[in-house]
Order: sequence, then structure tokens, then C-alpha cells
Amino acid sequence: MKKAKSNRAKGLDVGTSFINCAENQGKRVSFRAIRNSFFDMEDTSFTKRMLQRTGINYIKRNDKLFVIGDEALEFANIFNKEARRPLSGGAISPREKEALPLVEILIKSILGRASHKEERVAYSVPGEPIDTTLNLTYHRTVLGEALSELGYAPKPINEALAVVFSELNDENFTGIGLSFGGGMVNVCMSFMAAPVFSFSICKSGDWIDGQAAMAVDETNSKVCMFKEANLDLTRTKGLSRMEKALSVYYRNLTEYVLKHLKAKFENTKEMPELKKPVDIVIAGGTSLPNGFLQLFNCMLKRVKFPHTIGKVKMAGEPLNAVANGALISAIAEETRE
Amino acid sequence: MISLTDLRAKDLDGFQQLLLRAFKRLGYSVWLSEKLDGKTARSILLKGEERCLVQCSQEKGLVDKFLIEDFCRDREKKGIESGFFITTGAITLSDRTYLSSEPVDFIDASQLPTFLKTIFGEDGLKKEVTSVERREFPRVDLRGLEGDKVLWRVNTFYGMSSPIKGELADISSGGIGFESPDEISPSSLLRLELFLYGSREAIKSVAKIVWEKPRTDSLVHNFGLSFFLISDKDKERISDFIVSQLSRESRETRNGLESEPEFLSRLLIKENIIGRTIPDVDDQKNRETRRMDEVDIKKCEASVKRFFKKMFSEKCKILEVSKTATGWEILAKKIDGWFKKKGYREVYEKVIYVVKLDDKFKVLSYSKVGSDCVPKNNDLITSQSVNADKIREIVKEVAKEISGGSESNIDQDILRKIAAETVDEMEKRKGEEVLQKKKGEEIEIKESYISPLKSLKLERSFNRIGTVRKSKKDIKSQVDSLMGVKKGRARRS
Repeated sequence: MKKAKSNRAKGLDVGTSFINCAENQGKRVSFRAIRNSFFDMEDTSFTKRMLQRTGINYIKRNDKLFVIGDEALEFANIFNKEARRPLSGGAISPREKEALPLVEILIKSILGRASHKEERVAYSVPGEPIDTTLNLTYHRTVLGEALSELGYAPKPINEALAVVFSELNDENFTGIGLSFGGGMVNVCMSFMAAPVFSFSICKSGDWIDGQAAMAVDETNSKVCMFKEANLDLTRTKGLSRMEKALSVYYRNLTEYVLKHLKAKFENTKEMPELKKPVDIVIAGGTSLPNGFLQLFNCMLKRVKFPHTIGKVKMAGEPLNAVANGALISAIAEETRE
Repeated sequence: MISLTDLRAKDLDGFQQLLLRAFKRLGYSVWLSEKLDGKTARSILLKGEERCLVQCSQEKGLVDKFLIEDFCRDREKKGIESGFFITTGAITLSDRTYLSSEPVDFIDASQLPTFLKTIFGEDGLKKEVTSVERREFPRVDLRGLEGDKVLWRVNTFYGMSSPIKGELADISSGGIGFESPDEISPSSLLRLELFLYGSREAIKSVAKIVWEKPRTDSLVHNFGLSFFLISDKDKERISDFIVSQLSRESRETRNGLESEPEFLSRLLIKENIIGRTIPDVDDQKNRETRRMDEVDIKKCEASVKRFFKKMFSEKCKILEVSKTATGWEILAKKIDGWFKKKGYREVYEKVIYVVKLDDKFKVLSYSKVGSDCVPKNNDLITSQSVNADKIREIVKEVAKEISGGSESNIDQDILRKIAAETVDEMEKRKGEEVLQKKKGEEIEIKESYISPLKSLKLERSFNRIGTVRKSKKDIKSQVDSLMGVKKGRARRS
């Protein structure tokens, strides 16, 4: 009975760009993802009909219709506006009054109700930010409450630690996990599955989009769509203005992250005795463009780390690594109980 | 999936028609269209009082700045309030800035497929782009044909003592043209019967005179009729007939040169513009007349709406208003407002009526279109009560279809006033017997309805959405390792 239950635990990655749920289906893991964005429209019979006819997901709230998911980005591009995000910089956006109910609905839609009482769900939360002040307690509590309402027993897990759980099995869960998400870069140094230090940086994919959009006078949504579809960081010649801008800011971000990682490595007092070189694993949607790993390695060589770095690798499934790690953690917790 | 390449592969006619169909869905009607060259076409669209100039440009690269400026100048010159510049090419950033400063919206290559997809849906767009549009078949001239003839017979709904008949002059899938010495008042609604090559089975439709031209050389008049109501089967028959004629005829009107009146009449028939006075912006007198007509039409519509609400406790939609010698004829569609109010689309089959009013806008009589077309009095409707269980099942089925079965729950019975005809339609559709019982002057149907539960309504189509992808990962070993590592660490500490 207990075994059957343990298979039903879930992992949830609540990211700025995507919400991703991992669960066991038979012997395989199944991922269910939706873009964490929305676009509001006037509630008229025409828009409603149009949305229903095209099968687009929407929410009716007060006197507005909210298109959610990938379609929100498409609508934003049609209307030449920005799609709105319930999460900003990795946490629930204080500027969007619709953020909380929309996140709740998105989570509900992705996760579904708990299959049994107190089903375990591990949900990702960012590490303490080092370059901004962010109320993570509010974010963590609100998400936890939303999950409890759905009948789950929620447990937060650091986003980058989840990457380690997902990818560094062969290294006894020892190494550095990096998650380049939409709103944040999360970093965690793990030793034998225990976090040694973790932090987050409030610059990531959105920041790159914003800076590049400003440089080429386009909307963030358009830059984001271009980045996801076309960007190749290995290319150096014949770049368009947008590619050039994106390339510059990718370089800048990687340098910034490594600088802070090195500082944290040096300043951590109770560092365990590491006998082997430390591996680094990278995940997250911002790390998806072709050539990102080469860029990271190139920038890494410039930084003198206090400890030898072993392999630097991309997660097997960069978009699913956090949810997968959270699922592993949730199942382990449920089984242990 | 339809891509930009597919849209570019269409010829200008096809591309323009596709866009016009898209605009029709957005509530516009087409007033006039013209081709500027092999790559560009412009149309004037109407939406209520608003006029809109739409340019369709088939381009493969960057759109010439001159084309954009010319469009904006033309819009301003014609005094049209707004514009749409739609192209399969790309608009440069500076041109975008220029267009943004004008009351012109633009859609270029980067947005076009998404725009069309939003309107038609993925599958709908595919059908629109790939299907051969039969209604785009050209008009076939039947004058001077030896042997077989196509005969027509028309009668008005009211006022004409006997039908008039003759030989057909031309036919398209949108309507017909014929000559007659009789006078038929413009905008009249007519019962039309067509007999193709001696066929005894008539093609029946409700048609409308869209133009009338007296011939100077004789006493006959030329009439253009547009099909207003016609069954799909009959539409097919007409399309097949046109196809057979096209192969027979060498005359090509589709791409050949046409005189302006021919072009205009074809366009009016094709675009289904019926009974609309084409405003002449330079003719002040005409404009005044039109304005007066509009006032009357509004009064007419209001009167019919009140009548429907009183008679059926339901709303109606006015489809067509025509002035006759004795008063007004109105084509009205009854709509099921109750379900609409609840957030569903209309459930029942819509029934179309012809309502006749006098000059004081009082309802004289009305009848269901497609029945016997004889004027009937208000006592046409008798009260009925319908077997609730049957209706319950029908409504349940329909509501299930609407909601995908995800949000519905039968929770209460209601008494609803409904026209007998509506019940008949449902009967036919479901092939079930419905028990009817008279009950005074009221028409009541006891039925169970599907009430959207509030909490469930919010969840509509949210029951676990998102893109699902199955991974090859088997995480059992990872879970075991994690537990092992954690246990080892706990032991050591």
C-alpha cells in the first residue's frame, strides 16, 4: 500500500517562465508544463467566442478574460504588447494584483488534485537572492497554502538542489547545480545531498530579453520568441542586431554568475572536505541556446576557483531537471515516511 | 500546420478572399473590392457606421515604402476612418513607425499566420487555405444557349397574385440574373424556384432582388437576385451545374476583363450585400434619404423585437428589413437568450420568421420561412406542454456537447416558454417523439437545464492542461541512491 502511494508523489517547478509538474506514470516520469504567463482582454462575446472556437485556454475573472500559457505570448505579439507574468524575478509579483489567483489556477491546472490524502509534493523555491531584496517567505508560504488546499502535503525544495538531485546521482549528489531560469539564476553547492550553500541572482532570461529589447527597440515578448526559436551562441559572424545584443548579454550574465559563485565558494566557512574535483550541472530554459555550454566553459576558464572543477555538463533534460529533482525528493520523503 | 509559404503560394484572389472571410468573422461586411495590380488588392469594409480600408499585398520580401504611403494617402483621400495593411511580406521598422502614426493597423509576415490562426483556428485555417471554394465560382452566362433552358419562377411573400416565370440569363453560386417585363419592387423578398434543364425537382430558395436595371431597348427589366436562404443540397446542385457549364463555355469571366456594372453586380452577389443602399458620399440628397430610412428601420426593428419578447419571452435578431408597398417586411431570427445569459452558446435550432408590419410599425402578421409562406395571424401558436423527460435528455445531450461534459450538472426543472416550431425542430433532430399537450394560451415546456456550477465553470478546460511529455527516465535508482546517501549521512553525523 505504501509503495503504491509513494509512486503518486509529485514534483513541481514553479518558475518565472514555466510551471512544470513531474509525476511517475508506470515506470516512466511524465512532465506536464505550461508557460507561466497571461494576457488580459476585454470580456466581450466576440473575444469569448473566438477563444472558445480556437480552443485557447482562458480564465474569466471579473470583467476580463485572461488568456494563459503559450497563447498569452502569441496574443501579446499580435497586439504588440507585453504578456504579463504572475511571477517576477522568481517570486510572486507584487506588481500584478492578479498574480496570486492566476498562479493558483495555473498550479491547479497543471497538478490536478491530490490522488490521495496528504500526497507529497515537493515544489521548487529560489535561494536567497544576493543582489536584491525579495520576500521569499511570502512566496514560499503562499505556494504551500495553495498546494495544501488541493490536498497535498507540500514541501519546498531549493531549485538548484533539485537540479543536483536530478543529475548528480553518480557523484553521490555532490556538486554544483545551476538553474538558469526565466527570472533568476539559482545556484546550490551540494555535498552528499545536503546543501552547503545556495543563493540566487535576480538576473536571467527575462533580464537578457529586456536588455536586448531595449538595445534593438523591440518588445520583450518578441525578443523572447526569437531567442527560444533561433539563437545560436556558437555563431560569431553575420549576426543580426538582435543576435548581437543577445550574445552580449548572455556573456555578461554568465560572467556575473561565475563571479558570485567564486565569491561564495571562497567565503563559505564550513566547507566540507572535498576529495574530488567538483562537477557542475546546468539546467533551465535560459541555458537552452546552442553554444551556451561552450560559453560557460570559456567564462569559467577566466575565473580562478579555489577548488578544482571537474566536468561541466548540461542536464539531460534542462527544462525538466528541476521538476524531476523535486519528484525524486518527494518520492524519497514519502517512501521514508 | 499552415505556414507563411502556404499563404504566399495562394494567388491574389485566393489570398484576398481568405482575408475577407477573416474580416467577416470579425464582424465586417465587404462593400467594394478592387485589384490594383497582380500583387495588391484593396477592399472597403463596413462595420456598423465604421468604414475600413483593407489592403492585401502578396509580397515575398520587404514591402515597398511607396506602397504603404500610397495606401495611407488613398485612405485619407476616401475619408475612410481606419485601415488595415496586411501583407505576406515584411514591413521595416521605420515603416511600422510611420503606420503607427496613422489610424492604420498592420499585419506583416511575422504576425499573419498567427492572426489567421486566431480567427479560424488551426484546423479551420487549414480548411480555408486548402479547400476549393465553390462559392467563388464565376457567373455563367446562359443567354443564347441552344436547346436546354434553365427556368425560373418567383413569387413574393405578399402581394403578388400569381408567380412570374421565365428563362434564366445567368447564374452564379451567389444568385441569378433574369429578365422580366414585370415590375418587382427592389429589396423584395422572393420565393424562387429554379428548374435546371427541364428538371422537375426545383431548387427552392428565398431570394432577394439586389439590383434592377430597365433596358432602354425594350420594355423588359434586368434583375439580379441573391440567394438568401438555400439548402446545402441545392447549393451543391448549383455549384455542379456551374462546373458543368464552365467546361462547356470558353468564356472566362473570373480573370477576364469585366465592365464596371458587371463587376459590381458580381461582387454584390458574391459578397452577399443585399438590400443595402450604397451611399454616395457626393450626393447630399441621397445621404439624407438614407438617413431617414435608417431611422425607420430602427423603429421597425424595435417593434419586431418587442413583439418577439412579448410572444415568445425570447429575443430575436433582425436579419433583413425591406420596405414594401404596404408597409415593412422583416426577416427575424429567434434566438435563445436564456442559455446565452447563462454563458452558453444558443442551444436550440434557430427559427426564421417573416414579420409584416404596417407603416405605424405594428405587427400585422408573421409566418415561418420555408413553410407555406401564407400570411398567418398571431393565433398561429398554440400552447403546449412537453414531456419533461424527453426534453431533459435532449438538453442534457446538447449541453454535454457544449461543455465537453466537464462542467455540467442537471439540478433543477424550469418552465420555459417556447415556440411550437422549436420543439418540432428538436424532434426532427433527435428523431424522438415529444408528447404535446394544450394548456390555455401559453406555450410552456417543462425542461431540466444544465446549470454551470460556479466552481466548476472556473475549471472549464483547466482540468490538467499543459503540454505533456513522457520521459524515458526511470528514477527508481535515483530515489534509492538519494535515500542511501541521506541514511549514510545521518549515520555519520
